[in-house]
Order: sequence, then C-alpha cells, then structure tokens
Amino acid sequence: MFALQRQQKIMELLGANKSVDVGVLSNLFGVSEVTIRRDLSKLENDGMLIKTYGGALLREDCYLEEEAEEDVSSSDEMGMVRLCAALVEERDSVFLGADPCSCRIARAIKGMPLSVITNDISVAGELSDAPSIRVFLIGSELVSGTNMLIGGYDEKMLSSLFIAKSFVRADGVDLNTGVTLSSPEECGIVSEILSMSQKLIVLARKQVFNKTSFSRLMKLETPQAIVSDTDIPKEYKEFFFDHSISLYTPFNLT
Amino acid sequence: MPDLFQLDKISQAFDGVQILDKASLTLNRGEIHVLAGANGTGKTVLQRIISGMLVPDCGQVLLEGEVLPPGRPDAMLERGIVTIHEKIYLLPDRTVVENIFLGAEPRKTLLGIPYIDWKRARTQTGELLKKFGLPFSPDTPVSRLTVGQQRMVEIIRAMSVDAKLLVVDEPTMFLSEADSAVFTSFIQKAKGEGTSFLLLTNSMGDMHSIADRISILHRSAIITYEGAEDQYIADILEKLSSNVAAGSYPKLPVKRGRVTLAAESLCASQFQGLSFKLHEGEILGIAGLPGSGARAVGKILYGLSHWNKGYVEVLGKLFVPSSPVKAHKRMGYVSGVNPSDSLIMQQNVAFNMTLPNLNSILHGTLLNIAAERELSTSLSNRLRIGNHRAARLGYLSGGNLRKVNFSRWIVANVKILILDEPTMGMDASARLDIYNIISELVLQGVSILFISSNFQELAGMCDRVLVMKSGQVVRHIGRRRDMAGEIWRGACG
Repeated sequence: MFALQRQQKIMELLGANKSVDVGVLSNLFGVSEVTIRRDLSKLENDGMLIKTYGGALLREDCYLEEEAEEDVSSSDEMGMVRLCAALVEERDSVFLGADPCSCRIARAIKGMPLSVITNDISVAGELSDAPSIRVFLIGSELVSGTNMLIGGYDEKMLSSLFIAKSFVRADGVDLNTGVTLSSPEECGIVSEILSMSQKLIVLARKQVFNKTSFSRLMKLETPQAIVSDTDIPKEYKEFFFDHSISLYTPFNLT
Repeated sequence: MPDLFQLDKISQAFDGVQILDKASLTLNRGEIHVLAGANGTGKTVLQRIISGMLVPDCGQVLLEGEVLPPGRPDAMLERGIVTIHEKIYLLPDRTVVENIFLGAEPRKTLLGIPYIDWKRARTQTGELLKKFGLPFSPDTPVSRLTVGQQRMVEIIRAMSVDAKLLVVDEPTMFLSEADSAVFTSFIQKAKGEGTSFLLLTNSMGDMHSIADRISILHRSAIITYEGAEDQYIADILEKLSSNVAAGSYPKLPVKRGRVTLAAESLCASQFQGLSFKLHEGEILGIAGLPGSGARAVGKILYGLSHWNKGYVEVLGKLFVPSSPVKAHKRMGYVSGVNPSDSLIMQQNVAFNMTLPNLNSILHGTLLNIAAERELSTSLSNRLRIGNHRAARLGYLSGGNLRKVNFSRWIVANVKILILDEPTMGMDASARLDIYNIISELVLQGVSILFISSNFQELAGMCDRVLVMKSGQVVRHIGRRRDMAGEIWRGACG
C-alpha cells in the first residue's frame, strides 16, 4: 500500500485506540520501523498526532468526538436550521449531509416539492412521510453512534443526479487547512456528492473555527456559502467577504 | 520634461502573498487622477508606500524624475507629497487658522523676542478660504465644521506648504450629498491653483466627474485608462465588482407577500414622478449618486421632509405624515449618514432601544425599569451589541450604533424599514452583521427600502433596484449577472 493509505490507516487506529506503537505498526504493515517513524513525523507535522518514545498519541484537540454531539436545541442551532431552510427553494434538489441539525432542516423543508439526497438516516426517517419529496439515501455502512452512512454508493446513480445545493457539515474550518472532516470515509462520500453540486453550503459551528480535523474536504475559498450558528472570528468574516463567499449568521430577533 | 509623479514597478508581498506585482502609474502636472481598488486589493499598502511609511520589496517612487528615498515620510513631505487619510488629522479644539499653520506659524520679532504673527496667518487663511468660496472664518473651531469642510481644511493646509501632489484616501466617504458636491468642485479649483491629485477610492462615487484619468488596482497591478469616459468607468466598475461580487452578500430567497408601501407619482423638490410598490419580505433598492434624489426619497417617505404631489399608501391606507414624530408607527428609519436623525445620542442604549415602543415597558403610567433593563439586555445579546446597555450612544462603535438603531425598530415591530446608507463607514465584518440582520427581518416579513450609493451592496442584497438620476427613475433592474454594472450605467450613463 502507498504511504498515504498507510498514514490514513494509522489515523484510524489512533482514533480507535488513542495511542499506537512503532513496533506493532511495523509488523502490521510489513514495513520497517524507520518507515513508520517517517509516517509519524509527517502526521505530527500535519498536526494530527504527538510523537512519543516508541509510538504516538492522538491529538485530542483536533479530533471532534462523534459522541460529543448532543441533541441540544439551543437557539443558536435553531438559527442555523432557520437559515438553511430559508436557502432551500421549491423544486430544488438538495444534498443534506450528516449533521445533528440535518434532521431539523429536513423537518422545516418537509412541505416543499423537492428532491433530497442524504447519507443521514434520521433525515430519511423524517422525510419518509413527506408526500412532495423524493428521497434518495446513499451509503451502506452505518457509523456506530451516529446517523451517518458511509461507503458503498452507486456512482452511476449519483452521476445521473443534478444537485442544486449541498449542505455539508464541517468539523474543522481553518484559514490554512481549509474545511476538514473527522472521518476519511465521510470525506470520500461527501467529495463525490460535492463534485456534482452547483452550490456548496458549509455548516460551520463557531466551535470548529481555527480547528483542523483529519481529512481535508476542500479549500476554504471553495464553498459558495457558509452558515454559522453564531458570531464567528472577524478574520474569517473578512476572508469570506473578500472571496465572494456568502456568510449567513443567525440573529434571533424575537 | 519628466512626469510629475511616477510609481515604477512597485512590488510588495506579505506572508508569501504577492499584494502588488510591478504596479506602475504615472501622473502629470495638474492632473486629477483617480485610482480605484476594491477593499483588500492593496490600496492601503500602496498608500503607505507612497507616503513613505512602508519600504516596498521592489520598485521606486519618483517625483519630477527624481527617485525618492523609501521609508522616509519626512522626505516625502519635504519634496511635496502630502497624504490625506480617511481619518481626519486636525486638532478639533483648535481653529482653522491654528490647524493650517500648525508647525509653520509665521514669526516676527519684537525687541528681539520672537512671537507668532497671528494677524498674518489669519489674513492668509482668510484669503485662501475666500478663494475657494468656503463660508467659514479662519477663527472657526474645527469641531464646528462638517466632515467635508474639515477635509477641505486639511487640503488647504497641504496647499499652504506648496504641496505638489496630494494623495487623498477615500475623499468622499462620510460626506453628505451637499458636501460631496462642494468638495469635488473644491478639488477642481485646487487643481487650478497648480496642485495635482491622486484620489484613492473603492467605489467611483461622483469622482468620475472631476477625474482627468482613471486607473484601477486589479490583481496586484495597476491598469490606467487614458481618460474618464463612461465606457472606462463601466469597465472599472465591472472589475471592482468582480472582486467583491454579489456572492459576498448573504441574500436569502424570500417569497414576497402583499404590498405594504406604495407610492404613486410622488413629486418633491428633489425628484419627480416616483412610483413603486414594496411587498412583505422584499428588499427594494433605490440607487443613486449624490444629487440624484435617492436619499431624499427615504427622508420624504419617513416624514423628515414634504412632498408636493402624488400619494403614498402604507399597509393599504392613504398616508399623510405631518412631521417625523407622526411618522407612521409601522415604519422605521435607519440612517448611516446621520444617525441622530433617529437616535438620541445623549441617552444610553436601553433608552434608545425602547423609545418607540414604550407600551412594552410601561406599568400603568410608570416606566418599569426592570422590564426596560431585561428587554435591552436580551436584545443586546441577541444582536451581539458589544457595549453595556447603560453606555451613552456617543461611546459606541459605528457598528454597534447601527445595531442599536436597528434594535429600536425591532422593538417597535415595524412592518416597513427605510434604510439610508445603512453600512456607510463600516468594515466588512460589521457590514456582514447588518446584512444578516436585514435578512432575518425579511424572513419575518418586514419590507425593506434600501437606499444606497454602494451599488455592489445593492446588487448583493436587493430583489429589485430603482435607479435614479437627476430626480428621475431611469431604470428598474431585477436580479441578474453584472447587476452592479447595470446600476452604474443607469446612475451615470
């Protein structure tokens, strides 16, 4: 396997075990310890892990745990939902990525005639009784502890769809590293979708700013719009404005 | 004979990003040259290099064929290049004559003791003011002048030390329509006296009428047009808007409802024959340069001025305002140019927020202080207004002041909001907040009349735009590609 694949696998193992050992990895991948050390050095340079004597530790501050996503109906979340729902127009075809508020966005757009493509099972569940919506569910493996499906999508089916707007969650938003996701597999399936989308809308909560997660999804100047849940750092507001990216921030007026 | 001023292949990079790449410009004696550049394209960097505050990576600045020493603001001043910044650098408590002669006061000696000859200073100042037709005396404290007049005093000060070239940053920003017109004719008179001008701006405004040649700072280089004809200006505007395109604005697609505000053949001293219908959830723009009558529309509809003919219907009923106090209680007004048109500056945030809707905090006939406090704190938090509710409005930043202005209309639950240059003078970050507040209002069904001379902003946020010129509506533009350019062509073409 190539170095990049090996490095991705190392990150997966770290995600599961929180620490890895050079000797164990060397046996597992059938390469020399020098090679493993080189991999770890690169990953450390990328800010993914911290090297220790004999191995490496996961960098907790860049890994956003799936379990940490509580079902909080705070007014900040509702603001995000309100803006996303307002961006969807009748007869649009939209992709709703996996996100704690995707289900609520789905609820808000239920009444409109639409096509909705999603890899979030709660979205599919929410829309199952919506008479005017065609629902396409993609992905085959359910990630434990989440509502997200990954892998096993039918490329032919996907390429026949035209997606006007894609709503994608960000786990990291950074001026240098761009938009990042915590799971490389999710990155894979989402990238496929994005390549057929006309308008990319990134859902970026305030807490993901200045954070970098595992997998690079896109450069920061790529999306057409960002929807945040509350005020975000000034330098990002200026960046988006200067790069023709619409920044939607909710203000709760009532 | 060499050109008066030359920028020769100026290059500057910051953090690996090439901001200026062999940017070059020439300026002739007695020329008014306008250099346009969108925010963030390196205009400020260029200005700092010209004023000697920044040493460029490569390239040189030449005056009358002579290379000027880089990084020496004193040398620049000495040779006759004076930079006038966006912020006014005058001593507000001192008079016009004191400011003009600051550091260069004419001296005399009496019995060997030197003293300042104020009589001579005053006379010279008086002559200069008269020559330019300025209506104030040399002894006026600068704080009593309008922003435009203060700008002119700064320029006169530069001319009094025989400046050869005046570099002015955003000359007409913050100026009212009247001031803007006086200012541009003032610059032309100054040109007649032998001073050359390099005017830096991020939008043409009305400078196109006095420019001899225009350039644009675009993709790290300067492109100069040999003249200031309309087709060059339209070209510049297209380039300016391609940097900060309509994509920068948080526009929401909102279904419009019934008509909330309608005008039919409205005539006033500043405009004729204005007719329009504004709906729930709609943002209708009124675009116009100073003098077009666009801003007057807002003032007249709100009742700050009268109309002569025609009629106005608010929420289906005929409306005749007799004074601003009696402005329709379903209508609000936010002015970016004169915030005191609708705010009490001496009072604090809480007072201003609740003023239009005291019913919400009355307890019989007494004011419920706790309710006022709760309402203003809650709204301040939700609108993310930095200052404390007890802070006097005078202490607030421009962005926060604007938010307080919006908040009072939110408390008053108006159905129609008239905005007059609502983001003037604000930076991108603060402007985005205002645009998002406007979007939230529209989601709630509020109708917005958006009056502005910033055509990119109108193209970004409005559903339709009425373009006004010399008191008439000349175009009615819907959302489309190059909307800003279309607005411009209507406003000046």
